[in-house]
Amino acid sequence: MGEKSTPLLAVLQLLKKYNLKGTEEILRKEANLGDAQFENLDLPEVELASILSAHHKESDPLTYESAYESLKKFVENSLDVYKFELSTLLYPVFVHMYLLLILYDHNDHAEKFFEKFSGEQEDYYQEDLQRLSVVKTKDHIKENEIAEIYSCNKFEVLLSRDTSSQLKRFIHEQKSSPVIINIINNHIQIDVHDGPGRTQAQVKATAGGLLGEAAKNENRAKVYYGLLKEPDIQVLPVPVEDEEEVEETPDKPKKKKAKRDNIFMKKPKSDPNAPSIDRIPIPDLKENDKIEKGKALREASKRVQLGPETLPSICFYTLLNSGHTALCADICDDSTLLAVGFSNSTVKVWTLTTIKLRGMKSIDKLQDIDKEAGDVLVRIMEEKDRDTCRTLHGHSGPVYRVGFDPFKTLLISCSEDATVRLWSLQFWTCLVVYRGHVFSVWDVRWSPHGHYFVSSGNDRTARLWSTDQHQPIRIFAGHMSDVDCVQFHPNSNYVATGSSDRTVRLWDCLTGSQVRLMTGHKKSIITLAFSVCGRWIASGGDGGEILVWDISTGLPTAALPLYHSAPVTTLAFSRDGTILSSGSLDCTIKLWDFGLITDENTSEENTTNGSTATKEEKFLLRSFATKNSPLKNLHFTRRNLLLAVGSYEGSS
Amino acid sequence: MSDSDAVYGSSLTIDSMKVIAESVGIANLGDDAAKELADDITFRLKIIVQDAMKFMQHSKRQKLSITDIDHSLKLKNIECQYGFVQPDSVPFRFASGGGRELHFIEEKEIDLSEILSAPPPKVPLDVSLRAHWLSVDGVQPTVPENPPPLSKEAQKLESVDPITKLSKPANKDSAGKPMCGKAARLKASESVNVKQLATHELSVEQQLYYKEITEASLLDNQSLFLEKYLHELIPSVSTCIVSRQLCMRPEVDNHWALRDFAARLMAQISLQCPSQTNSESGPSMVTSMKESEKTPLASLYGAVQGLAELGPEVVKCQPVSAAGHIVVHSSQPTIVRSQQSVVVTSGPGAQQPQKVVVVGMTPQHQPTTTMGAAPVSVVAKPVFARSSGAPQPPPELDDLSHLA
Repeated sequence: MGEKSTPLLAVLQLLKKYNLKGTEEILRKEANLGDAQFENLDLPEVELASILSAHHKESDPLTYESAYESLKKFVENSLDVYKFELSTLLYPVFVHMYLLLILYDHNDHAEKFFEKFSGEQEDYYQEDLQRLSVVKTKDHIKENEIAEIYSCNKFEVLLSRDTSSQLKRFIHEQKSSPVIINIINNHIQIDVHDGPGRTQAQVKATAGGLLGEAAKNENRAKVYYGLLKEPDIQVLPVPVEDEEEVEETPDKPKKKKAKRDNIFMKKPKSDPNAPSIDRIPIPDLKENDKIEKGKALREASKRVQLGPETLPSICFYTLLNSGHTALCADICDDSTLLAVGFSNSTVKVWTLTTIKLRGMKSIDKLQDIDKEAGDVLVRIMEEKDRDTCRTLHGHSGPVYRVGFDPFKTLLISCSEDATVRLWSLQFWTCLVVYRGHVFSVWDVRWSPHGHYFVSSGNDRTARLWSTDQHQPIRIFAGHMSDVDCVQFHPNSNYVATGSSDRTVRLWDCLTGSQVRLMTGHKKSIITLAFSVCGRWIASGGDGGEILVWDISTGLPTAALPLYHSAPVTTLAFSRDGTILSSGSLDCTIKLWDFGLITDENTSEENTTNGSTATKEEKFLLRSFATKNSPLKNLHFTRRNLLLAVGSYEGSS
Repeated sequence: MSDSDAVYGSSLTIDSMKVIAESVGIANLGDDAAKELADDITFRLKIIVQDAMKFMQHSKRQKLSITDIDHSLKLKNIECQYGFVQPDSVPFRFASGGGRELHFIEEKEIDLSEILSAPPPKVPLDVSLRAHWLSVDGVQPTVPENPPPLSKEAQKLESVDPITKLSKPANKDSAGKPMCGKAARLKASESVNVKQLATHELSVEQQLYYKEITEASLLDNQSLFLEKYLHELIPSVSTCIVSRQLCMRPEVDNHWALRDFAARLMAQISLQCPSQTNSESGPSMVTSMKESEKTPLASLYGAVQGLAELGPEVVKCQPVSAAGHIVVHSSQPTIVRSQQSVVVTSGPGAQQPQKVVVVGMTPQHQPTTTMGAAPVSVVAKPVFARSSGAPQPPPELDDLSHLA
């Protein structure tokens, strides 16, 4: 295949595409091409176009280096107003020049070109470059994930109107070397925005995505980030007449709100940003769930108000003898149960209170029970106390995430074996195996209202499920790489995903479409958390960075100072939304002043660089080190006590 | 970018390919074939390792493990590699010969019958859960479950260079630490003048005893940078060793035990903080020895005992002018000095067995050199028999020259 030129094969592919058999045959005969060789070249459309449009000049390997250097010079010499925006062009041009060189079989030149310029690319691209550097011949392009992504997709570059006209002028001057023009035409999507050229800090804040920034139209859709109206639950143990709650049947008449004297119902009645209550059908609360909710409200009334002056107490649960086998942990909403997923495919559930874990009675015993009895739910349980820990067997690979449903009756888990499993916390067995993901499932999360859950995995998709269907009801596709983490919005209408392509995306559960694309992370995203009010989302990355995003605009609000030295594995907001806690593999828990972080957003325009820097310093309230126990999970109880879970990895 | 070469360019060499080919029975692998193979295998290996990193990340580890590679292979629909276990570190051995260099992992032959007959290995402990307070109202309690408030390195830095503490008032960990609750109260209490503690009526022996206990437990504290406080510790310990009189009735009370204990403590300190102790603790004992004619028996006993515990090294760095041996021995607590050695016996304690310490010194033929470089052989018996020879370095295991 080496001696057959790529353009020739590209022409063949084009002929085949348009079904021009006669011409194809003649060409084959003339060029002595066999059938087999043709099969090898299965180029993506875009690549094909670029080859055909410019093969006569581009096949000269020596023009690449000088072309790139002239572009670099142009960027460096332009005014500051244009410079930083233009500099975002350098990386995609570099990557595509490298890929083109390889496509034209100039492998040695490609290697030299790579060595010469790869070092000067931005730090956050170095990881990608390392993966790209593996590609050495054109056969590799198809097999390499990242090279494939670059050749099949356009890299997004956002320029101001003036900057783009500067670029146009430069391109006109470069008539002799069409390499850059072709790359920009075929592989780069230039988006023009109306504002003035952005500063270095502004450009850097949103740079870093695998395919550049979010296009300006990407984040236009309206997002209803407000909270749903809370179902009106009497704090009294016996709930009377609360038909007002989440209701999908439209014929139910909306009743007058009962007196809303409870302080926890002080949400403005008509939040313009809240979705209507029936936008997403949410099942009715069961009798038992109502009791549970009532309990939650009673607990919440005893909540400690937190703030920079009053930090939460932290209770740390250490998993002993677990070494590297404990992978994930979750604590149920009322903080009575702890579930841990292990690399040996098991899930263990501990009770954190003195109440032992009980199973249900055997079937023949259940038949004797009076179903009409008021305390039937108590009667069906075994009488004798059971263990403080129970093990669930079923998965056949490491369990990457476990999660309790809001009502403490179900547990969901996902694993490397590509399945999601639903477990009953009454029978202590597996109820459903949800198959659908192709490879490992990295994360699974419950909707805050139960019933729905969302999973994400190595197959670059996130899927929305409802517990009563064995197939996903939505598939969110669009990420360019593994979807590492998911999280439900507090109003259950949206799902956020974080990925190795360094973007956070927000998806609408109703339409299944992507409504926000947030770029700015410099490393893959490991964990996400929505703020209590639903407007902000915090994301933790592989490098220890934490970013806070504003959902209403899709822009990063703040990048917290890089105090974590290892991947941030878990984030949690205090129940009153004033404190953001982060846990990391560097064995520390850090508490951040979330009030200040979001407060800064409003005054950001006025502050100079110097004062924001000092302000950023103030974000961190306190850091607590654990004894060599990397954090697995953080959880605020209803009374705002912080519970943390980590596994002790021995003294060293 | 100087390290870009190492980062991007690493690949298997043609030579490696040939060696591997030989090992599976292909004698003459052509250069071109080897190059083609090396490139392709490098590409595939790198892809597998890159995918394995994802599994490492989701297992919340920072170290790649063999299971990660297995999962990555599974992703590619390749059967995983069975039979690899993961020791903490993979000891690569290096051998060269015949113009070739080779890195390999040594695999020991295992006798199956030995394993079968051996008692079954212990069942690993089950995972258990333990709760403790990491923070109470924003203050971290100093309990064993929590890490020490200041790392050993930080304490060392602070003791060596106190300015660092001043120049960095906002420690990263305690930045913005709120002055509230307990912290505020602690701060307030700092400014209150501390009333002088009343002296309690404790016998000297009791006081010393308490001191010993606290000091011994200080030594056990793994997270304390002890060297900072040595100057306060050493004098009191030395006092317990060489003091003239430690109790009211030296004839009856067993002050010898205290001296023994203190001597051992001193040795322990010097083991833990090897940099300073020897030069600090030696002098007092050597002084006692030097003026051995004048020193009372008890002090001399302590001195000898202390030197015996410290071992020969300490004498090396101390000017020993006393030439020859001094012998101390008696059924009564006496010292018998001779030109060759010193023998000290513990007194006439009726019940205890007699303790005899013999210190032998090789005579110094150059009295002008004050630094006695000659090793001192210390023999303590019958209770304190200890070898004075320096421990033999463990035999070199990595000597593979015979393979060359």
